[in-house]
Amino acid sequence: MMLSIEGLSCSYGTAAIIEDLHLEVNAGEVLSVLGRNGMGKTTMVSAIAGIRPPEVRRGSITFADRELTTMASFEVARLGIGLVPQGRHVFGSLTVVENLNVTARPPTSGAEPWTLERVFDFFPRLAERSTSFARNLSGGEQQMLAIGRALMTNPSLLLMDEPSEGLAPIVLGAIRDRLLEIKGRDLSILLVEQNLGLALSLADRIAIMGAHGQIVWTGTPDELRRDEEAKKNHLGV
Amino acid sequence: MIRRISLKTRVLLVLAAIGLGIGIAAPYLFPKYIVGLISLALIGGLFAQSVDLLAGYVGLVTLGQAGISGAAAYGVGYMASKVGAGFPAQIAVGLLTGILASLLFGLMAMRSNDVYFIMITLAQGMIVWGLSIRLYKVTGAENGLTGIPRPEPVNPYWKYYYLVLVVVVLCWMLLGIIVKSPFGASLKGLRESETRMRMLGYNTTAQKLYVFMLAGFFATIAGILLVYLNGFISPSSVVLAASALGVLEAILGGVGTLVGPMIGAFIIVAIQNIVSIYVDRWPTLMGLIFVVVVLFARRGLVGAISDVWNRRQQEVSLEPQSAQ
Repeated sequence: MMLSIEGLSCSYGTAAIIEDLHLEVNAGEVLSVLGRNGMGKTTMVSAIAGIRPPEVRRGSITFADRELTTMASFEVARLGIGLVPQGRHVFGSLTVVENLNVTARPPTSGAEPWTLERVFDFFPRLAERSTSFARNLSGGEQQMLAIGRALMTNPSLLLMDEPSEGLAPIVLGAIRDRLLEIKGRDLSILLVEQNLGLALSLADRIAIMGAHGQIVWTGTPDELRRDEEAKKNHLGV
Repeated sequence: MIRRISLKTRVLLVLAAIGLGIGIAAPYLFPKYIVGLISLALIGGLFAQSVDLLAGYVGLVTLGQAGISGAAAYGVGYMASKVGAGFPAQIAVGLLTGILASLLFGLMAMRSNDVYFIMITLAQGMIVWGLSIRLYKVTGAENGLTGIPRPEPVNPYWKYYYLVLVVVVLCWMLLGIIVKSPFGASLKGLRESETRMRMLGYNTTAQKLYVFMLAGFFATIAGILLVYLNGFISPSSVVLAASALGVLEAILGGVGTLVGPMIGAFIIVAIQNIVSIYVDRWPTLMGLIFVVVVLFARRGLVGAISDVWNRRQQEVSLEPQSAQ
């Protein structure tokens, strides 16, 4: 098991967001966490990545046998957890190359390392815009850059927080195709999404998060496709 | 593959060559007084660059940098005038005191940001100023330390000028390498968002200490050069105004560039020492210049020129091409 969340409770000040969350991500799998707005998906990502707030009140998050709840975010990242944050948050005043180089780190496992050249092969569009400032990129290019930047940390677990947000379907399709290529190659992905289509096409397993961060449904993409009741009750689809 | 050099780079290279040419020829072109002022401006420029490394690249405005350069200058002055040590020992102690001050101040300031960082560094500068007044036996209090001779081989004013020129150009090149490196890019990332840098694996607290010490190192060099140029050091070199001047020079020339602080230093030295001969109210003039720059050229003179250049290039590229 790569990542294990046991009885996690998180809050912002006095507002409890997540209560007693249990979740596991296995090595090499893509787990997609779906859920409506305000269920606590981003709070969970922040808690895993060591970003404070939210405060972790109870429970544990273990990654490669290390407890993450007491770690600073930079220590979590150095363990091999790469983050593609919601809203992309690339460094606008840096060029594409600088954005990628600034996060470059040797791999923690024996996997083929992500280098600048490999990222450019993976996203040729970034190679074409290599000297452009990130603030001048389109939304899709910024998303590619955010993913490339996370890959340059050579993670063994990639946390992706709503990568589909604000992207045109054609751009999203291109990013999805790229992610399908790296899926399972020494890389686990925890994909937090509202876009059902992306989750169904990419994930090995799906978990639906309900109120207060409770996991209310788990299964495979095929099971979710067939389960109209779960889609209607928990996702409003 | 040969990379085509852009027009902008070519213009900058020509300007740099002209500047360096004038710099090398200065003792032959100008009288002693002006050469002394150029030395002062070069040292002031290096000091302002050290301020800009923090303010322009990391977004941490310091008001205590003169405390660090002053600590180095007092180290040299003490060894020269009180101990009577040789030049290697003077310079070694100057470097040591400056770097030690950087380390201590950096450890105090590295967990703060924004206005808190400004206040802490201001307090640090005031501590050095207070010590320079209180520690009479070490610093000479208000009288300062006088009679600090230059090293014999560079004692003549023009030889010392060349030493200053070489050291400042080398430091400038070193700073250029630093800000162009991935470390320099990480500093800009830190300026944009400390949280984001942390989640990408950067220990930003340590990173701030490194850059504070780097900036302190260049301020130390400036302090040592200045004490040998003036031959004395007094509390007026470590007052708040001395630190603020470095910030103003960087703002005037353009923060986040290395050439900007140098240009700012030359302008301020010229106003203080040449314009003041003809204009009684030169501080008012200086104030007016700052107001105009802040109002109409937020990115300083270099930023304004760069904006005009980029606009012009854009216009040229949009003009319809004439038929061949």
